[in-house]
Parts: sequence; structure tokens; C-alpha cells
Amino acid sequence: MAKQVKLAAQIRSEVGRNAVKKVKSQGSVPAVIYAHNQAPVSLQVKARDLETLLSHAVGEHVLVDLEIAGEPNRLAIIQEVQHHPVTQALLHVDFHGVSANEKIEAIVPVEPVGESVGVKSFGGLLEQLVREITIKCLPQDLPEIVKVDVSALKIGDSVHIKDVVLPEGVVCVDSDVTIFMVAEPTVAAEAPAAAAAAPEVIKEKKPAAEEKK
Amino acid sequence: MPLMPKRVKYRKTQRGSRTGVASRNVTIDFGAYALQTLERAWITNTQIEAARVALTRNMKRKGKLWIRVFPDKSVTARPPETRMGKGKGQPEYWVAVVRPGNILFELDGISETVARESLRLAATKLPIRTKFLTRHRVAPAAA
Repeated sequence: MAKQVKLAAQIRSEVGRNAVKKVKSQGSVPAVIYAHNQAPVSLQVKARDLETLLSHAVGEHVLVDLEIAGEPNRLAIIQEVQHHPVTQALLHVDFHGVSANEKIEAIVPVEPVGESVGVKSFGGLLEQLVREITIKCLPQDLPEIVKVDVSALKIGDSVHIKDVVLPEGVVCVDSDVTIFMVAEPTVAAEAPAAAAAAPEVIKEKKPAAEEKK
Repeated sequence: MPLMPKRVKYRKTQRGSRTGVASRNVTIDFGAYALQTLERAWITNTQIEAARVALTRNMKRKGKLWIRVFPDKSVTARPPETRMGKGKGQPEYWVAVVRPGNILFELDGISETVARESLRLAATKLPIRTKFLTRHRVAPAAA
């Protein structure tokens, strides 16, 4: 089961580009918490705390116990983390407020366990078509990761979401999606060194006689 | 054969802008390992092909490769010893416009050691600095 990690947060009264710049310069990350029947609240969390939290987690959708200064604690799941495309620095975090006794939909990572027969003996390739699955459960039942045993897979075999054994109280939202597949070993043929032809132009130029008209 | 479009609406394009960092094609979407750009450039179709060949040879044709960029921009050039004027030159080659943060290649089905070495070799065929990425964590190594 996923651990509930405590995370300190402060309410952010100022919003907008300049206010967010100030927040970032103080070593914090802007965040927001939203939940149904409740108005969204702008927050800020210490970047260092959040980095530590994420580096110890398997996925990014972690269940957190938000300790908001001057407010009662709120249980939330990290819905989205925005990163800078180059530096990978944290830009913004979305917290989705949840209730302890209400079922939630969450995204959890899927990982293969074991080496499949098709890969080990026949040189096949284990393809992972889905990296994360959406599940429905109570917050306390939320698994950190879903592990799927692929050791029995031969070439051409596949594992669908409906085949995955989930912990008690956890239901998968999708059912007919392929997660793993063992493909045949492929021998990539070297592309023929054909002369590079010019691409076809969709809109041909009108003949000069027509243009004059 | 180097990549190029099959059909185009116009043969010649303007140079366009390549400022800023990438906003699309910035996450690992298919494989487990990736090569990310740290600089901006026009990467030619022959450079992409050279990197692909280096990758597949080092991977010994195992694993799976995704090429995340496509050279869809034509670059024209004037013949040597031509006087100025007489219009724009003819298309010479095709380029992909990449900005810092773009993912160039993704790999899966191989070990991290092989992926790292394959992508290092591929990076030597490219005109820009790049970074090796894994799905779970970001490695600081720059090629």
C-alpha cells in the first residue's frame, strides 16, 4: 500500500506571473489543491521537500497528507507535476483533495517482474505498451506500484489489464488494454540505398498561360 | 535512405524562428531511455540517419528504437559561382528544427549500459550537445 507522506504547505494569497516568480525565487514551488464541492486554494510548497518526496516515490502520483499552515490537514493525491523541459526543475504541482472514505481514481505505474521465457530462450522482445494504469480504490488501499509477473510469457503472448491480479479493494478502470507483449525477434533489414527522390508537391504550379488569364 | 517528406504543399520554406525552449515532444513517451537536446539546431536528414545507423549497430539490432523528430523543412542553396538574384535556390536537403528539451531518440528492450553507450555514439553524429534520460530519473551526463 502507498505510504501517506507528510508535506508542509502554505497558502499563497497572490497569484499571477510576478507573484509566482517571487515564490520561485524563495525556493518554493507554486501549487494548487482542488477537490469536489470545494473551492480551489493556491498553495506553495518548499521545492526541496517536494524533490525529496518525489525522489523517494516510484511514480509521481503520491498520496500526501498536506499540512497547510493555519488550516486543518488535508489528504490529497498529486495529480500533476510540471517540470522544466531542459532542467527538469519543478514548476508547478496540482494536488487533488480526496476523502479517506471515498473511492478515488488514481494512476499507478506498472512494472514487469521476472524474465519471460520468450525473451530468455527465444530472443524475443518484451514490449511494454502501457506504463501506467488507472485504478479505482479507497485512498488507504492505493498501491504504490502494480507488479506483473511476465516470466511465463512466450513469443506472441500478451498480458491484458484484466489478467493483472490487483490487491483487494482495487479495481482497474480499463479492462481490455494490452500491457505487455513478447514480440518476435526482428532482424532489421538495412534500408536500400535508393537515390533520394524529391517529394511530390501537392499543389502543382499552374501553367504560365493560365496564370496570365 | 535518409528521412524526407513524401508529399509537400510547398517545396521551399522560409527560415522561421527557433527561439525558446521546446514545449512539445519533451517527455519520454514510448521507450525507457531517451536522448534529449540541450541546444537548438537544424538537424539534417543525413545526420539523423547516421545517428540511427550508429544506434542500431551498437544495439546489435536488439531492442526497439523510436525516432521522435522528422526533417520536414527544406533548405535551399544556390549553385556555386552564381551571381546574386535570379530567385531563390533549389531545395538541397531537409532538416528537423530542434530546440532545447526536444527528445530525439527513444530506446527500449535493452539494458541501461547498452542504451547509454548506443545513445552516446548516436550523439557524436549530431551537431548539438545532448543529454541521456531514463524514464525514472534524469542523468546529468552530457554527450
